[in-house]
Amino acid sequence: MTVARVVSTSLALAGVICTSTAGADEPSDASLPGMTYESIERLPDFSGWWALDLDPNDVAKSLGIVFAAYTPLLKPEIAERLKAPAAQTNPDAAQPPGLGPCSPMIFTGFNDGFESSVEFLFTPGRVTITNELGMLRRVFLNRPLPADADESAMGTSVGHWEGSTLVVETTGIDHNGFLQSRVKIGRGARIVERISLEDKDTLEIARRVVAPDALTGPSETTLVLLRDRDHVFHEASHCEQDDRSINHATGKQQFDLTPPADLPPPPH
Amino acid sequence: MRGETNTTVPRASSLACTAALVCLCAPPALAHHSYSMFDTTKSVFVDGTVAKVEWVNPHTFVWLYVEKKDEPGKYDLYAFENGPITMLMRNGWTKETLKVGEKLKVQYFPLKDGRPGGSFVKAIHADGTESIGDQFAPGVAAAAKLKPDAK
Repeated sequence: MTVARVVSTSLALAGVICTSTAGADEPSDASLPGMTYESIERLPDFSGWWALDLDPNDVAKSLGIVFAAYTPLLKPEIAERLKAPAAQTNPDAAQPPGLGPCSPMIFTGFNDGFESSVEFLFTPGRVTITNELGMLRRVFLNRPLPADADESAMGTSVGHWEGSTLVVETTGIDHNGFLQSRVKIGRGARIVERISLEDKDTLEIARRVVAPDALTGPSETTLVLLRDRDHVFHEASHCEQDDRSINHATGKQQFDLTPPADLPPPPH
Repeated sequence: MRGETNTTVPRASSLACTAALVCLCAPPALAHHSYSMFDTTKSVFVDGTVAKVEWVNPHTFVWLYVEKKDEPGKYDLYAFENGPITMLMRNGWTKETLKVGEKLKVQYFPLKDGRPGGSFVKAIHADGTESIGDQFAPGVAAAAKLKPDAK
């Protein structure tokens, strides 16, 4: 198996994190899966880049799996508020309300795989889940989940292996993160992801999202990602200030036809 | 506008549904802006010469010189919003896919306000090969199947 290794960087980071992350001071059993490079070699190969299995001819249905699952579980008062579509109340809105310019990504159960590909890195005692939008989730293996994790954009994650399935549990998620447009995840959310290979190039993430401020019950969905062996990393961004299609003074949509300064002359 | 043809895009209702999902239901990772500036019910083809490709996030842009139909030798400048770099790369693009000075045909969803430009669907190169834009943007996958002479 080929596993991406970031030896010096990860060890340095682990040293820093172990002094500051709740739960990281707890002892862990080095004999458990994922705690040494030797045991990592025996784990399923999640290495490389992954993208959601989407049908470009039916994106609505495909992405519906990602987001529509929350709709029937929304608390009644939230569902009532959403009856007024944002597009009707503010048709010129540049973005759905609540999405500020270049605001950091807040993990609310979705690692992406749509606009940016997802990557898994295995190092002893830790799995790192990243994407091209800059997400960086540190999953500490075989440690207890702290009961009082401070809120943060990525939350606090711990994981363990159950056979060939990586189970990741996350709490301490910034309550301002959005489950979907205009629906914040709220306080006390808890997300469990069960990540496994369906085959060598197909990854399943079965997720259970509990968000007591937003949902009447747990939301359970399974996302399917396909391995992209030829993928070349490229940084992604949705920063509003870099978007020509948004008027930065008003925040409204526009289509700026101002030519680039270095535009060559027309053909002769 | 030389060589410009209009093509009606099928499945407008599903396109609207897609746009609604991507633009209204999406968390920050998926959000840019809505596509309400563009008429995604019809696509247009136009011939021109690539003036510049802005290979930037969160949207790439294609600038095209289009010779005026009634004034040979004079040009309008068109602008096309294309997909994010990562989405284009997934479709095989590089920043060299469209070359400055290259003559080609561009299919796009026009701006509703009538100005020259819109949302990029695909380019048809001189050799007939096609470079399809962000196939997950509203309407692109369906529209890209159409030919310039389709009615």
